[in-house]
Amino acid sequence: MEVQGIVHDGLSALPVLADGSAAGSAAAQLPAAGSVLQEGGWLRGNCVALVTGTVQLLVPQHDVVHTGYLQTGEAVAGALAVSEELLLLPAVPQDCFVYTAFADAPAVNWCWNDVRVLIDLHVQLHPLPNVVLAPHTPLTAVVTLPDGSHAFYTRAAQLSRFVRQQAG
Amino acid sequence: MSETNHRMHTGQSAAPHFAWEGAEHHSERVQRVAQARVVVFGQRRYAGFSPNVTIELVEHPVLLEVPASAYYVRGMMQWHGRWIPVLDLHSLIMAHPTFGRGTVPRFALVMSYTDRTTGEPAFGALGLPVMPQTVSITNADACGLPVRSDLWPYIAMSCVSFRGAVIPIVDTDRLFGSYHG
Repeated sequence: MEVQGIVHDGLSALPVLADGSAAGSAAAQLPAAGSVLQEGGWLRGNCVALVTGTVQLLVPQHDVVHTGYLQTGEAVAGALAVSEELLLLPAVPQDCFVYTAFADAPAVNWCWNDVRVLIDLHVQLHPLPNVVLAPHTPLTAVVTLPDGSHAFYTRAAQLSRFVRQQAG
Repeated sequence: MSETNHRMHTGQSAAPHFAWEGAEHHSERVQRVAQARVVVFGQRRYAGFSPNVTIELVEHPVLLEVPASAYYVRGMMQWHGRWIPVLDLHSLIMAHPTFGRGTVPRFALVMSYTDRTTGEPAFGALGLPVMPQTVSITNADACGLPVRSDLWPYIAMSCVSFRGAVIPIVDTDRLFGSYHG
C-alpha cells in the first residue's frame, strides 16, 4: 500500500470513534483528557488499538504521545516493529507504515499495520487467568471492541519492557 | 463460535472428587469402582479426570492465540459468555511447546475448577486430538506416577494403571489454578 507520507503530529489526526461517528459528538461524554477508567471489570476512556498481523493490542490513549505515517521506503529514526508474538523483528516490514511513540520512551517509533484511536471506548475486560500468564507476559485482559474484533489490553510501558527483555 | 459443535458430558458438579459408584466385596477386601474420563496426548500418554469436572466437549474450537503467553497455552476460547484458557497437556508435560502456531486442536474439553484467589468456580479447557474415553477403575488399579515428567506430582492427585496404560488422575484446581513455569 502506498502512503502519501504525511506525518500527523498527534493522535488528533486520527479522529476515529468507537462507534464510527464523528469525533465531536462524543466529546462531552469523555472522561478527563486522556484518562482511562477501570471499574467493575469494565474499561472506559480513550484508547488506541495497535495492529500487528492478526494481533490487536489496546492501550490507553495517554500512553501514546505521537503517531505518524511512513512514506514508502522512508526510514524513521528509532523505528522498530514486533511480530504477532510481540518479538522484535530484524527490520520494519513495508506494510507497517503507521508508527507511534510511547510516553515511556518517546524516541522510539513503533511501527504497526494499523493504528486506530477509539474515543470513549466502553468495553468489558476479561482478565487473562494466571495459568495463561507467564511472568513476562505483558498482556492483562481480552476485550471485544465495538466492531466485534478482539484485542489484548496492555500498557505501553509493559509492552516496551517485554520487547526489550526478549531482545536481550 | 456459531460453527462450533457442542457435545454435553454428564458431569454436573464442580466438586473435584470422584463419585465412587459403590462397593463390591471380594473376599475380605472392598473394591471401589469409579469412572474416569481419560484423554490421550502425545504418543501413548494419558491423563484422567473426574467426570464431575468434565463439562463439555467442543469440536473444532475457535481459539484466540495469546501472544507471549505461557508455552503450553493454545489460546483463549469464548464459551457461554466467558473467555476460558485452552491448554496443551503434551506441551506442559514435555516442558516445551509441541504444537505449531496457528494450529487448532480437534477438540476442547471444558472442565471446571475452583479459582484459588476468589474461591469461585472457574472453567478451563484442554485441547485434544481425539475424544476422551470413559473408563471404570478400581482402587486396586492404583499405581505410582510416571517419573518422566516432574510436573505430575504438582497436578495429579493419584494414578491408576489401566490395561497397561499409566493414567495420572489430574486435579483441575492445580492444573488451571496457576502458572506452570
